[in-house]
Amino acid sequence: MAQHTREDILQKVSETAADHFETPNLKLRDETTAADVEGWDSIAHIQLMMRLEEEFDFRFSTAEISSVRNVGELVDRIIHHTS
Amino acid sequence: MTDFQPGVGPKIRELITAVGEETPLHRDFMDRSLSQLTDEELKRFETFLEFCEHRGKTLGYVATCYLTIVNDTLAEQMYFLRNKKYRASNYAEVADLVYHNRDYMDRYMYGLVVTAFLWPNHVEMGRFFREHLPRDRKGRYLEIGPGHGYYMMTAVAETECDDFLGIDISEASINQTRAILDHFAPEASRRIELRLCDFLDASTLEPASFDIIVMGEVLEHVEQPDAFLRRINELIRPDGFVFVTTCINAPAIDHIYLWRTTDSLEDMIRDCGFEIRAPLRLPYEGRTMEQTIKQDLSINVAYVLAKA
Repeated sequence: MAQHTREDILQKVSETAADHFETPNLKLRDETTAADVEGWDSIAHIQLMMRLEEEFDFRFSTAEISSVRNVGELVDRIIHHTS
Repeated sequence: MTDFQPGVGPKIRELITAVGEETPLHRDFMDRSLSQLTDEELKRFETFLEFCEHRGKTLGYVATCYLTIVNDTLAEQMYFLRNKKYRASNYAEVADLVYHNRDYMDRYMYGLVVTAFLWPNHVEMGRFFREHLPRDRKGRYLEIGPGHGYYMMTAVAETECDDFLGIDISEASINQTRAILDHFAPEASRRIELRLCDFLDASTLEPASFDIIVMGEVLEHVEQPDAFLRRINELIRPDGFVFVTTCINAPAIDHIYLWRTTDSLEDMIRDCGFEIRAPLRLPYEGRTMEQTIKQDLSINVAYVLAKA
């Protein structure tokens, strides 16, 4: 897989989330949390994580899925798995 | 994260804060759930946490118990969404992991009662139970799988039944149910028997001898739910009251029987000799039934049944 910059990954996460939450103008930032996005509850969180797994071709652990606190941490985990 | 609303007692606050520190996403869920509880329900929740401390369990421990259920359910949800089936399909696969694991069962029992207050569908099923429980019914009460004891405690406190029998396969459940009943209804202890055995092996129960039979969240844990339903049909009086809860597409660490639709479950119930007097079918929290079915999310169900 080609190396992506952090900004590329954040952009892809943002696009995936925008599609998942049916919010075309959604723009995620590192400090964005689930509470900032309408509809981002626990099952939507799992569903989004599974979509990101497909997008980036790896698997999160259960602990990662439940412990990530904001989009920045999520991006950090993706970088960890894909670098 | 919101501030706690008035009526949320100090023990609930401590519990929610402890859980939220471990799982921030879940804190928002818990805040929403609390906001939907009545003052009476908040009082019962606080009282239950006082009971835990009375038993020597810190609120930190209860938070750990609840987090066990949250995290195990999360893992099973992911498995289910990926594989479209439950991880386990027979009793042997879960017995050692859960029922014969004393430490796990202790945590499971405390965590389950917390879900009765924090998981909206569980709250709704509890309300449905209280709404339909025949309070003026005398006679004999049987509960299969009393588990944490909360339904049985309600029946002891709020019906006119003369005696109560609880049958459970788990020693931890029997101990928890006994503890809750001794704490909240000590005056009734001579009318209550708790029996540690498999319900299908309890051969001394007489046909048509019970007035009320309750079985909450058992059918999805057994290999032969139809056998359980048929046995209940044998034991309930012709005009007796039966209350059953279970779930559809609801992965959990010890769920082994998978119903994929409410129709398949309700067909089984009718085939086992019951008519459904009052159904409660709850979609996944925050979703419509259509969205729930389309996304293979869990449906919680409760039924008031009568012999057909």
